[in-house]
Amino acid sequence: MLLPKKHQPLIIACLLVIISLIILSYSVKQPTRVGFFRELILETAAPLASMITVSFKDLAGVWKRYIFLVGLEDENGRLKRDNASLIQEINRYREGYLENIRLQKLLALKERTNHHTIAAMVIGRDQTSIIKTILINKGTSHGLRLDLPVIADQGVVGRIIETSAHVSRVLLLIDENSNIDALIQESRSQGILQGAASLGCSLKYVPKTETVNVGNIVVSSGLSGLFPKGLLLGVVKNVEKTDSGLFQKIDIAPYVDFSRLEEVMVIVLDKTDNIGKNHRLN
Amino acid sequence: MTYYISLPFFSLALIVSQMMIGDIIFSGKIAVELSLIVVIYAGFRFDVLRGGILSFILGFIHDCLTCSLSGLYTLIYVLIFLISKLASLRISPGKPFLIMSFTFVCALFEGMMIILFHPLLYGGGISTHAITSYLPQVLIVSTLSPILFMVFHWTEAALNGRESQPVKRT
Repeated sequence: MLLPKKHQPLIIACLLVIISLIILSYSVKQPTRVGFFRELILETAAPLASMITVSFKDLAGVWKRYIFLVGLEDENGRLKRDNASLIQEINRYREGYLENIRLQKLLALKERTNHHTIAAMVIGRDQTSIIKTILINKGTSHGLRLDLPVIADQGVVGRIIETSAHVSRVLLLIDENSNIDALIQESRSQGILQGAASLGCSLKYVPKTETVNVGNIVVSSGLSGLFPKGLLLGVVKNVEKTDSGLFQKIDIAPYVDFSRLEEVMVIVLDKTDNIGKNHRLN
Repeated sequence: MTYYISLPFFSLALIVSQMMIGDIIFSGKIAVELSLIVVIYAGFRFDVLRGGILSFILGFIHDCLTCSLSGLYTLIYVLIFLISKLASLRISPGKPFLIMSFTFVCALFEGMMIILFHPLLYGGGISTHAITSYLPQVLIVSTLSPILFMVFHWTEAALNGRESQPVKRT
């Protein structure tokens, strides 16, 4: 070395610090530029690192899985919370999706119906007692009144028997007090559809001379003035012709599944509206 | 001469190994900075030229592999080497507690330098999480330092083929 022996360490130290500072300042000025040495080191280190990783892969697996479990409990707790939150979220989306499907069906029904309709949500059901009714979240303030027909996408639900400003009670088709003028679609035989609670409904006053088969569709006749003509009521599930009496005993299965009702549509008819005639003209 | 030729390879192997150890054993949460202990050991054992170049190369490779900017660890390692060199005048490398304490101080100094330079280099403050995760790292390094000092001493002796002696204080 040409440096004086006495000051050699000091000079070397100063040189190293100065070179380090030069490299640092150069790197700060041009951070995006990868220097030759840097690139060389990165290229050399990569195979070395992969060699070490491959060599210690199994050992690392054992270490991570069985020994180094720091933070695992916290992570587990966090993941459980995330999981619970995600389940809630998925449930909300699923509910929204199913509601959307139901509302689409109602919308399609609304488009099919020629009358003004109001959609309502079922907010309570009382099907265990003698009177089979449901509560809906619309009332007189929405234009509802007594005896208006209530339908779902599958068919007739019933009619309004009680109403307040924001809530109405609907007497279901299957209630024993419910009587609707009906006819069999195929044979055009007329009768009265009466509720039979858990048994569904029965079609009364159909003469024995009329031909009625299992599977025939029953629709509203529109004669009483309460229900528009042609609304789906149910399907014939059993026909009995007894020796005594003038009429057949016909059991009807309603189209609507009353236990799963969530949204319904109320048909708002004018008081002067002649339903049967109106429908016949349509 | 062999020493200077082998230095880059040794440094590279050391830095890569310590990165892999941190990654494999501590899942990358804690870095075991063996290179820092090597630098401190060099400060106690080597002369300024040999130790200085070792620290410089170790710092540079550390920069290349772990830091987005070159020069930061180079500067820190060179400074720590020089501080160790000065400390070696007072502290004997044979006293484990002193070595441990000195390594602790050096590791803290390194951390402070990084915190100090971080806004200048990256344009933003360092997160509190980074600071708190650095503390266990400091403790691990300082705890390991007396053992590694012994290991380095034996290695040095084995390489030289004789019991290595501390360099003369200049």
